[in-house]
Amino acid sequence: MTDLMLPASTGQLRPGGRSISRRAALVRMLGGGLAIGLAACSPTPPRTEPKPAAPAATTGPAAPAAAKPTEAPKPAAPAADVKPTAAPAAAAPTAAAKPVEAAKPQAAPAAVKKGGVLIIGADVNPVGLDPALTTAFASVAIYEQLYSSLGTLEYASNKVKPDLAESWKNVEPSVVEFKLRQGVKFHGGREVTAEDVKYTFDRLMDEKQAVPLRSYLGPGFSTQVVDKYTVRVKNSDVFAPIVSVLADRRPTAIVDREVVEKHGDLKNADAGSGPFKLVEYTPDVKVVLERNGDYWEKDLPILERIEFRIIPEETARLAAIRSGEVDLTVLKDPKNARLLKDDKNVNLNDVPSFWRSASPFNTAHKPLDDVRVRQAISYAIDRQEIINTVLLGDGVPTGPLPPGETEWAIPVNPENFPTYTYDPDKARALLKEAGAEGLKISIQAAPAYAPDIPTAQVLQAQLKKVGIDLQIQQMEWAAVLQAQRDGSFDLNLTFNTNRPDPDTYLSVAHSKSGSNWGKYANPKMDELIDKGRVTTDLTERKKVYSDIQRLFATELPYLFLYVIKNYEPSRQHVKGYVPMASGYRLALKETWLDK
Amino acid sequence: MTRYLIRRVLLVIPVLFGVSVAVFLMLRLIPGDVVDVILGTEGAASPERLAQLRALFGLDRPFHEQYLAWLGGLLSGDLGRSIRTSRPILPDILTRLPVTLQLATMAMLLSLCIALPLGVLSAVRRYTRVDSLVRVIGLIGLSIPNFWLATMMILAVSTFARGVLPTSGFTPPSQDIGGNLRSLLLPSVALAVANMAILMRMTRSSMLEVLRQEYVTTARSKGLVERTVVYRHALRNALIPVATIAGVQVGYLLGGAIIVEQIFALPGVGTLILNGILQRDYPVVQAGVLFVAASFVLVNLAVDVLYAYLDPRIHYG
Repeated sequence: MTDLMLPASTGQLRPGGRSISRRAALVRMLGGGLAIGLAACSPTPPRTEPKPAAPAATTGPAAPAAAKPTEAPKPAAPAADVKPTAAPAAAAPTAAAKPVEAAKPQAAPAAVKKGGVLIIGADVNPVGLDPALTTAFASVAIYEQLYSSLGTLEYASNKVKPDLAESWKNVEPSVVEFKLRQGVKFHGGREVTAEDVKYTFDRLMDEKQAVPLRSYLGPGFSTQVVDKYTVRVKNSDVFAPIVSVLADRRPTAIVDREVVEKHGDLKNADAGSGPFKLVEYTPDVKVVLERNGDYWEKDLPILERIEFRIIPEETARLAAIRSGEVDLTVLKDPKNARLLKDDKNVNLNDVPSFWRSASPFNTAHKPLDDVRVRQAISYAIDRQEIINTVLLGDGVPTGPLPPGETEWAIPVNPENFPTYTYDPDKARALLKEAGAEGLKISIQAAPAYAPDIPTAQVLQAQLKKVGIDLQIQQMEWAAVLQAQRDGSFDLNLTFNTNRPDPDTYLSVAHSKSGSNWGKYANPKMDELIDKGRVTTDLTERKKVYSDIQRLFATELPYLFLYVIKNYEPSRQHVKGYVPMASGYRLALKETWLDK
Repeated sequence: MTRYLIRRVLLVIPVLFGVSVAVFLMLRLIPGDVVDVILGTEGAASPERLAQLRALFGLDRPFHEQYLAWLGGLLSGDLGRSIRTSRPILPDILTRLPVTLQLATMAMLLSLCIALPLGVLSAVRRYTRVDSLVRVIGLIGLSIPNFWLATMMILAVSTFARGVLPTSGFTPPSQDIGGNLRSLLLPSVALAVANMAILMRMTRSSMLEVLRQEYVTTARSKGLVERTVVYRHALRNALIPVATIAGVQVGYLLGGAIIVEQIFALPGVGTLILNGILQRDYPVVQAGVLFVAASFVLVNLAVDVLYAYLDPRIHYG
């Protein structure tokens, strides 16, 4: 039934028994032709990217603020301006916690207009708004506006910068101490204190709660209150990623204990201290947020309200952004995004995402335990052809880390990733050497993510050229997830990202990892991953992760294909919005409407 | 008649019971459960943790225990809460059922309004150009999948008639009746087309059969005008099989509503059930399907009663 939800354009790519490969070939030709055709007949230069309005631009013209009736009680100015020294000292121990770059004052392009209602066409109905219990992106996209975490992310670099915590430092290698900003209030009016931080993190560790991302907190995680504004977190072993994990706002958003206790959970409630407050949540219809007048950052947010309208059908969202029914929306299918490229009323806001198309090799299934077979498959794949065909060119080949993780990812080139070179002869030779000629394997994929099935079809055609018979098993999303967990697959194609730390991306190849779906085991890999977790020196840590990425590229515990682009088209009057590779919409608090 | 009605209503109970068992088992037979969905692709978890989470939701208990617990709640009017959203299920269904029923009703009315006149016309003028045209329309209507038609209508409206009709979302009738009808117009057309085609073909063939009968010849030979023969004498009898099919088609409309609601972002029971299935939110799907099944059974009961009106020879005793 899920396949019916997809745009008709992908519907035609569904496998139909024996005709798959022929149809796939046809689709490839059509897709390729279309891509070339479109490229040829669109002489218009690439549209200029929307200028990301620097934060300074919004806080700069502070004049209108004087007229603001509800002046927040002593709002602290953005940390970057006030304490340029606090961050570097604190950030030294961990890599992600690099010094915060102060927002460069830029010439303000136009006077910021306060107020207004921004209407967002959301693609998926959020299944509850509890940060601890729901990691589905549809939910994150809404509760990230309601909550603050200890840290937050810079828009372009995704580096960690202070939020609820003004600064932090390692007091011991495995203990980090956070100093909280004073005077920040929950939406209920209570001040955010160290006790709340402890309550939030203890809740994540509670056995009675179905917290999906608990393992992100590292080994033996615990929290300790030092005084009202100081809190320490401890791991039983050194865990370098901890600050970036706590700053990423998914499970670790700080919640108001009183609200949790009143409602039991936060799936339908708001216990945050973030820029917007929850007004209304009607499942499958809309979620309405309203400006938090007491938000700690001066003059933010600018919008009066945000209304998320739930529009699951991509064509309907496309129609809504073209007609102006919504101001901002999200598209998944490159074919639809292409339709907006020449629309003068719309900014496409496309950025390469962190979403990788990837599949584990199940090394428990012979002969996939043989590295030569895995390499042969990688050599037989032309990643660029997949990108050109399935994504109309809107994607880039990826290693285990998406190229957008600029701090950590090593460039995808033949030197770093030798097995990415398309070389069918070498593939055949390797297969012969491994005695795996005439290999017959299967790939599972769900139509829940539009490019998955077409990607599997192109893979099928490519592998056929080296004599590998790839069977496509089209399944439903939950079934794919279960097969992953059970290890009942050869290849299992999904879209995923493992933000925020390189460890969370790469530790899936550790033999003891709970998400090592392919049962890959290699002492060298384990050693490097363990080393990366306890190395706190940034330069050294980077080197460890470069080594791990190269090992991934030759050992291939996973097959990584490409990252897709995020498309967040907005109407021209939407200003100050910056799309992020993570898909987070942290810039909404600085967004305003020029109309 | 009253006794018949009572008997039929009592028969609804075993039917719904059977539905509840079937839905319960089918949901548990499809691969993947709510814990898999909650953890997603990135939630690493040991087998012990998985078992712990399943126990948290009561999924570790044997099927019959889970079923009986659910049935017990059902009989006392407690449909429970959604595993995924923690929302009580009954109020959600009660606010959503009217949307689905209104959509299905509008689709049925729309198809009847078109199917009956065209079907009769086609039968009366059989083997003429009008007949061929109607039959081609019927064939096309049958062949178009509703999700494709829905998508094409959205594209067409947004390209050629921007803003004339809303392409997604729902306006409650309490807020604005006109807006309500407008918001359901495209969805009900998408849902109605296949149904209309089926009813049209049924009307045509049923009408043809009746027109061949001797009493029609008698009526004509009495000197009645053709109009009276067709509408007063033939149509009423021809409608009986059409009514039967229309009753059965309600089931397809309610089923098709799941997809159409999704495409047009309508907050009906269909969307609730579909999201429930994708999330493996067992109590939500069970309750939703039960309500849809109950609606279907009741509509068919109404059709049975309608027979008595259409054909006075039918007596219930």
